Amino acid sequence: MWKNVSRLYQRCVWLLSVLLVFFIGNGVFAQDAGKEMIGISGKVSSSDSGVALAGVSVEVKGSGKGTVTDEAGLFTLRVPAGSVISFHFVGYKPMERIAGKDWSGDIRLTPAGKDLDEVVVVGYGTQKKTSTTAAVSTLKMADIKDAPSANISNSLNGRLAGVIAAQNSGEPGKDGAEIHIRGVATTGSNAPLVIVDGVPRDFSRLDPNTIESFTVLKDAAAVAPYGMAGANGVILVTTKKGKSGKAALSYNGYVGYQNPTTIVKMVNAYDYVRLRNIADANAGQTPIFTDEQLAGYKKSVEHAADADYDKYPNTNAMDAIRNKNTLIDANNVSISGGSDNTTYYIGLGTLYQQGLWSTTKDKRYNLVSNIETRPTQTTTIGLSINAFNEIIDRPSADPNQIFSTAQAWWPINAIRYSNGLEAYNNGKRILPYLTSGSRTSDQTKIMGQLSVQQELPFIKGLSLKGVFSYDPTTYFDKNWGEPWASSYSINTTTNPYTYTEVKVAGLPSLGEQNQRWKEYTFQGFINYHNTFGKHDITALAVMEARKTNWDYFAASRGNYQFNIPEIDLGSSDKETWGTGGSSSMTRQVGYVYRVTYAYAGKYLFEASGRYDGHYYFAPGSRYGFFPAFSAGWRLSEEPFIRDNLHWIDNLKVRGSYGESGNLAGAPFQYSSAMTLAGNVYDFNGSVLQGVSERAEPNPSITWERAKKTDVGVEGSLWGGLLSFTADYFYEKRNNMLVSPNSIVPVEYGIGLSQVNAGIMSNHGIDLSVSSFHSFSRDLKVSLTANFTYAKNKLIQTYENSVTLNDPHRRRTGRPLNSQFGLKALGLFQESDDKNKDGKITADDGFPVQTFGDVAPGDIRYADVNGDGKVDASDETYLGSPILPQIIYGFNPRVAYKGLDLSLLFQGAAQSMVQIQKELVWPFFVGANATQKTADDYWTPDNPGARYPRLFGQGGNSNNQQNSSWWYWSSSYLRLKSVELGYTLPASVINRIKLRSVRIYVSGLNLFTISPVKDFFDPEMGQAGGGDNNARGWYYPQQKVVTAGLNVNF
Amino acid sequence: MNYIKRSSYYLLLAIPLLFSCKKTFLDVQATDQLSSETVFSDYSGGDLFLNDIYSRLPDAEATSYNYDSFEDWGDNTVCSFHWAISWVVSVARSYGASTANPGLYNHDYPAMPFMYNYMYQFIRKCNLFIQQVTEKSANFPDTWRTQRLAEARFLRAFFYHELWMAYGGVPIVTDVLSLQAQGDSIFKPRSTFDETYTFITSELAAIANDLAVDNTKGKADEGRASKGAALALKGWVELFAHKYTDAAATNKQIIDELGNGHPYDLFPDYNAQFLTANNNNKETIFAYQHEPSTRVSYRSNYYGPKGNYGAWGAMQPTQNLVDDYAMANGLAITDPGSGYDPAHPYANREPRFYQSIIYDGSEFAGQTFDMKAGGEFAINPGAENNTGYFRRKGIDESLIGNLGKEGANFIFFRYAEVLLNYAEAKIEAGQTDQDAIDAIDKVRTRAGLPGLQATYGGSLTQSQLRDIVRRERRIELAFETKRWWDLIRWRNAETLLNAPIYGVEITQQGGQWVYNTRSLVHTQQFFTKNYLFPIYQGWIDANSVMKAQNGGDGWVNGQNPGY
Repeated sequence: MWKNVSRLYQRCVWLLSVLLVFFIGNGVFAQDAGKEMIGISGKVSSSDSGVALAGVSVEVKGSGKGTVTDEAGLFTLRVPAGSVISFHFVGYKPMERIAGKDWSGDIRLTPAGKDLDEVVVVGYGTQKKTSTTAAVSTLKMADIKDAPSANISNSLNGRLAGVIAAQNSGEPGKDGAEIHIRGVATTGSNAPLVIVDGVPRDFSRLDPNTIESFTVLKDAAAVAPYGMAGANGVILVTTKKGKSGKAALSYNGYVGYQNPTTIVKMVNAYDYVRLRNIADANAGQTPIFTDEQLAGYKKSVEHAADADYDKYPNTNAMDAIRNKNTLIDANNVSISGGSDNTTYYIGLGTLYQQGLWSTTKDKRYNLVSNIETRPTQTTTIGLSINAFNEIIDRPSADPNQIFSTAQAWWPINAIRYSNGLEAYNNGKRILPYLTSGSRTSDQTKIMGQLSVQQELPFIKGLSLKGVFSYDPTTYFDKNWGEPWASSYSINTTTNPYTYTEVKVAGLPSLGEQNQRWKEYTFQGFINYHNTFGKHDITALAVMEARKTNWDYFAASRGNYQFNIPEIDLGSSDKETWGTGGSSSMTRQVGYVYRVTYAYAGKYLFEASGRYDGHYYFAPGSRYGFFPAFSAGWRLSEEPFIRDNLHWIDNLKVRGSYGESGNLAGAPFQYSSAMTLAGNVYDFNGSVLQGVSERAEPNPSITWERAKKTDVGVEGSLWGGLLSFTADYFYEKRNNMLVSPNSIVPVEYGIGLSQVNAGIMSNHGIDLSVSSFHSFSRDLKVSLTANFTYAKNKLIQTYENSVTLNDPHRRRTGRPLNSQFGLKALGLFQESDDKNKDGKITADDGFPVQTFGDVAPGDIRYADVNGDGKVDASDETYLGSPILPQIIYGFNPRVAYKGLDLSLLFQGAAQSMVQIQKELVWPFFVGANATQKTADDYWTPDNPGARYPRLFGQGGNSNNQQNSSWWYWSSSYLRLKSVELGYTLPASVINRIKLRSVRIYVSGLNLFTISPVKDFFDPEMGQAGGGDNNARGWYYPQQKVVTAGLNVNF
Repeated sequence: MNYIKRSSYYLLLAIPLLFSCKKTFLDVQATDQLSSETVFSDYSGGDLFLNDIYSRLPDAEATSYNYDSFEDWGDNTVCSFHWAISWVVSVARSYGASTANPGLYNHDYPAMPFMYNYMYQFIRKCNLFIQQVTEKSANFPDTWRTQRLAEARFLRAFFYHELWMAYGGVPIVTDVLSLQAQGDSIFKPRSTFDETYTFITSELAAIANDLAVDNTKGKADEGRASKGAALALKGWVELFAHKYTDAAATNKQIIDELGNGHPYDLFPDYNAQFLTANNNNKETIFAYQHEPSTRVSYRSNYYGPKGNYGAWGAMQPTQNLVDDYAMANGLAITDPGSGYDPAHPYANREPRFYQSIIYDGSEFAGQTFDMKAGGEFAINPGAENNTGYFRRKGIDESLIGNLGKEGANFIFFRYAEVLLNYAEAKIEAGQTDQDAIDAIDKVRTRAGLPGLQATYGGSLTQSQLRDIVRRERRIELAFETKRWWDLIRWRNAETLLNAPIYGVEITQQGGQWVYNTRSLVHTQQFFTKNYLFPIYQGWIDANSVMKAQNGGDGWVNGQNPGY
């Protein structure tokens, strides 16, 4: 097998090298040997009104020579024969014509809103926007250019219909968004496929300045070419290419500061001791803080003159470690230009971002070089290199650990004493997380791609293309651990107080790891496009093969005598050494086709699909076929509209149906496999390996299959005053991998492999509307808005009979991850304790709540099944899943003279999140209490409290049940971004010999309305993320304010 | 244009070339897995599988949750953290075993050594090993196969005995369940307490003679399950089931056949036997195996004292325990003739007290512990110093500064317990003869105490002997996670786990330091139903056959009474 694989690549590489040599050689010989100059003239007018346009820029492309049209729209120019003449005018689409014998002086520019020639990127190609029959949405980077987002994946939220994105974390370098296209359609992986310049790649580290556009493929017609990778939708990222013409140098940069969107407020020392005494008394324990201590902490909190901060500290760990107004700074320089034959775009970007604390920072360098050359009239060769290096420094401790420690911090524990020594507090310390040890990761990725396209003159419209991409990635991680510095315990019985050093023994240790990925993609294209009268035909066939290899190697040593973090300098005692290593590889191959047929530009038909193979599955069941069909009807081309309804510029209805796949689960689930682990046990003093069974195999495991239907209408009215796209979609996902574990008893003793037995539907609409209007030459207003609604339903899954047979608890038939729990009716009041024994029991006439003792101030639950007691069987449906079913954004913009203002509001609705544990259960497992709970806990005098009575340190088991009491709506509306810019007037620019200068200020996440925002950022709730989020243990999203400068030379 | 044509042909060629290698292109070998054929192709692979099963034994001293030791569930010790499960459970005794919130089972294995779901995972491993080795018997040498099959059956019995002690009778699974092959018969009914008992003891009886005799240090079978281990487990299970005659006989068999240095006997130094250097000494019958680099124990790190030593101090001895340490003369402090002086409570106590407890004025790892009011380690719940004591027994002073590198074994059974099991079984069976007294005396003598005759003189009644052996057992086995099960089988948890937990508060009154040994740490609750642990509702729901069962052994409507 290896022989074959390596032979394949030898052949591919050899072939491409040969092609390259031939074409470059060919190009040199085929260079035009000087051109004759000819005179051209013409009149430029608007295509809809026929009005002559004055001031249109007319330029010989690539030469910098040109002129502008006069009041009558007329121009004349002497140019080399065959050169490309470009026309540019604000509010109109640019146009290019070739100066040759077919020259016609009648130049009609199309208003931007009536852009009929606009091209959209689709799978393995491009199509004219008017003739596409698939549901795609596009975002031009130019429209969002200055939003200060360190991670480009966060720029999509609220911008694109059908896209649901939520930022998982605000930690520099780990702040990418989790993206769903048209909601959740499967129990398995919901991640969309991301393609950068035609090849599957991560886009989150790209420099935003180097991106041209995003295209989101949503329906079957759009995703079918991606076969078993397409069912969750596809995001196509296109990077900038050069434009022929004089070299254009451009600088864009900003600097700003960041602050967390949410920091949970915790109680002070006095409230801590006061409330803990109440909590302990309620739990039947002896309150542990004396009146003297209460008085002492009160003085410290109130900053009384005689406060004793060493004996009665009042501290806030988060404030003690956190920096405010942390820096973010990004710069990009790019040069673009070229001749008729060769264009280039090269750029360098830098990003510097500080973290919440002094030891976290992110530095990134992006280097891009996109070169395209046409050595002959029929040949195009492109070489693209897009590389980045990112170095992230952070503390050795995980952010979750730091946040959980800071949040749980008892405010009565000192951080530093008044003499500056760090406090010991029985080993509870926060400062060493930042000061002891460090962790650095260093990632370099090079996305390299060579493509060769050849038109075949002997068959009109036929071209061939080969693409080879090679993406090597290296990742280096260095983790230096140091023992914590000494701290000091305090003895307050002496006068003065005595401080005793507590040393932490041990020596530093170092762990390093290297990971390496190599990704190879080969694509061979056959393209055909021809027109026969009113018949327009295109055909595409692509063969794609892809392989990736990964390996990993790690080493560590301990007991460093010197603080020099180099592996070789660690202890030579092999007991302190460690090594690790592993590897894996992936293989896939696919055969893509697409055929389109259009009659008279108004009846559009398309068939596309892919025959796809993947190594995940057993031999014999590795290949699948995923076809799609679509059709469109451009009503605006019909005479009854074209001739009667002039206000309709464009109107199209379209529909599609098709199947696509989703690769879920993990590789090799088909084989019976056991896992070998090291350091499992020890006999005779030597450490031994162990083998364990992994899971029961499923030999017939295969991909998920989605059947997608989409009906859409898109149009443009009144010359761009209103454009819209609306889609209804319905999808049924079969073969979903679901775990049958719920149908085997616990005594079975092992997990079963997943089986392809789940069925789920997902339907909804996505809608985008935009309006553009120029009130005058100086005042332009636009509004774009989008709205997505997606609701899924589990049709078939494995569910144990207990919940399946209970209509209140049944999961099947409801949206995936619907929330279930007890239904809270309120808090028990003193009046409910009818026999006044201090407890709520059956004697008081209530159903018995079986989760422990219940007293006034505890949560009262509904006895849903009416069996006289409240237990797990009373669990019932509570509401929507965490991921919102509705997401929307609207983006008003105003431009007046040189000023421009753009706002993006973004929101989500129909989602619920559970907030629990430390955030709302005071003193839970030894933690602190949040101010919210301290402000509003139940007492007989506060019967309407939001939070139950205080109860011990572990909390009251009755109140900690999974119930509607702890569910919040996580819907939100936020001002996602604001941007205010000023473009210097031409008079000033010309004097300083620049093409354009724009200065701007912008803001990100400036304000948010949400029921949950006292506890966490609503996007965080939306992303799920499990227990850590529900406890507030995460690195919060950032509010960013920046000032920037954009100069074109 | 020739160039173009030629290159176009090359391009055209590219596509068939790629098609030509598709058959093998997708063949990828997993580099992180083995097949069962490979693993069970010879004995070394089989050993690897068995190593994994050994590693699943409930090692009470080596995982992240062990800071809240199972020892803290009894009345010997408390956890430092008031939010710890042991603390919450003993105060409120609210197990909350509902589907919505497993409550009790938020704790992890093996801090709770009997977790139902884990036990059945491990039992499956044993069953799979037995099935594979039996099926592929030609791949293995006979002697290896006989011994290893016996080890697997021992381990399976061990896991069952944990289930049985906690839940009573449980479903007995002795084959590898397969949904495809067995269909609905994968749902097993719950066996009774007696049936489960019979299964465990008959298994152990059947395999005892196939196991190694000597598993002590330096022997080929060091650390493996031995004949002594099987018999010790069997004797303990019989004792737990109140089958006193059987228990006496089984423990006697160990003493006669394997005691007196063949290979087991008492280790001369009571406390040193727990240290890394003395792993698998002659007193150790069966232990979880550790070594100091990668299979470490956290005993000293979690349970050692705070202060310069740098440990967590998470297992804090109670006054209730301290009061049960005898005086040096062998008498209990409650005995009028003991000479116990409440003003000097730590004077003239038995040697094991000084070896087991860090108290006010103790020196450990170069530090003198000040438990007096205002002192660093005085009772102060706000600082999580709850009792005025720390644990010393088994804590390795030499590890200071290197607490993460402890290689001490966790001992499941040691010879001293066999002696005490034997004595107790005899006493309970009414056979209060010299054999029983000799067994107790042997343990007391090693600890540096006078024998029973020398201490008490005359003859002791069954009831007196019962008190003596129970107190002896508590002291000798303190901190070894035995206490809970003793209280359960003695059926006196309702008394002792409803009694308040005390610590010592040392305050200055009139120029004198006064020891208040009734300083309340917390009050406890224990109800009759708590003699069994509840089975988490989700586990019951998953087994329809079990859910349908009713009656018998406190088994009401699908749930254990502990609910």
